Amino acid sequence: MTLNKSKIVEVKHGIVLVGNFNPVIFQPHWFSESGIIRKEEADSAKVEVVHPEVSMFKLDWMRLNVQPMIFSVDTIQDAYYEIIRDFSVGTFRLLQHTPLLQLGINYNFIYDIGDKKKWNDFGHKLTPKELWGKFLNEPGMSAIKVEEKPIEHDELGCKETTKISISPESKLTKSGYGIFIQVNNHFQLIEKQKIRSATTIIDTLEKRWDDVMSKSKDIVENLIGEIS
Amino acid sequence: MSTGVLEIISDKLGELDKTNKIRVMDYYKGREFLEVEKTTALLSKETFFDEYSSRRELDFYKEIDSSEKIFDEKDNLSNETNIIQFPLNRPLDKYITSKSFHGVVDEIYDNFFKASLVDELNERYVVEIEKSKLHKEDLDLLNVGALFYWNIGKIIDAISQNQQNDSFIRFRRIPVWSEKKIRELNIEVDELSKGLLKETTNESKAG
Repeated sequence: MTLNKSKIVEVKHGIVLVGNFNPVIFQPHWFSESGIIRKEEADSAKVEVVHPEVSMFKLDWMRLNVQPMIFSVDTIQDAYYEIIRDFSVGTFRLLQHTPLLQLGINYNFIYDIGDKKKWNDFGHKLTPKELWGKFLNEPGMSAIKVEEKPIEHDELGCKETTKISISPESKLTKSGYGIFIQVNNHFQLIEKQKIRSATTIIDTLEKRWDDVMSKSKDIVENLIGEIS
Repeated sequence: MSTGVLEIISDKLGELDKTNKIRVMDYYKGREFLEVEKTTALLSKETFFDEYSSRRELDFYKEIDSSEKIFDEKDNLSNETNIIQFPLNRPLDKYITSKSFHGVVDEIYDNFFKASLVDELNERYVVEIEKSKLHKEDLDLLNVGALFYWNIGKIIDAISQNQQNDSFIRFRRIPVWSEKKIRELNIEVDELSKGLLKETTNESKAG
């Protein structure tokens, strides 16, 4: 099956940073004062929580959630997927002394297969039932996770792993025969790297972004192509 | 059937709805309406959103408790059955890109600027763009060598699923601070943190 745009239910791009954060800082007007977003956007932001332990707000095009160890920003508007990268890079170029340990570049995809047989066949292809049928009555796939061996990028000071999760998605699709695919590109400082700043992780975000996004989209398109 | 939206404050539902049933629009499935017992929506919130949502439970929970008014077409509502747009907190609209470019500003004139563009297929273009097409807050970023995104696509309304053509230019924003600005902001953040900690302590005492 080739990827049919009208069957795409949702594409979400997300960036997750793991480190030490002070959530109180991350308020809409801090971002506009710093030149990272427009003032008009900060004025119309929907602030959900501002607290020493958590800061959450939404703009028209993105959602931010910051906790003491997690900074997470995502968008479901594909026109803005690069802008959340700029948002993250801009933030930690300014807060350059924030210790960052890990980075996740996530690509979440919900697709409506629209046909029960194709949906079941795809599940069988991913997890053949010959083995499971020996123990279980009519086994069905509820989720599958596959990850690759980490690749060390000495020049970046990080190691990279791509992890793929697939599960059925019935509630958010019109037909009820949909799938949810998550491609998580995980980066972690290599052990010998000293954690002094945000620089290594943010450089990695900038340098690996294009390749990682392209790889994630290829993975999803190829998986969809396996639906027959 | 009315498609109006109520002002939702959960304990007022009884006044607004003369029947024991509430119609709920499941916006994830487009314009599909669900009819639920009022008591289910009011008294068993967990059950309700377990059944009708999947990854957005937290949003649903908050939204049910919200007294926020989205818009009010109360006058159009049927006396017998009210329609509730659910969740009450408006979700984000989708933006589907049909064409996107990366641009760099080459030359600036009084009313327009010249820029080089490259699209997803690596095709290159040289264009003239009127300054009036820029957001007023992006005018300060208009410098020779500045990078921007130009997207052409459509916005899909999260509730109605109506589509509207759209085009926007947005300059990249990756600022760099001076040492002085960093010192000023650090002071501001310290003060903000102290204020919030004080508020939290007072709340704990009150509780």
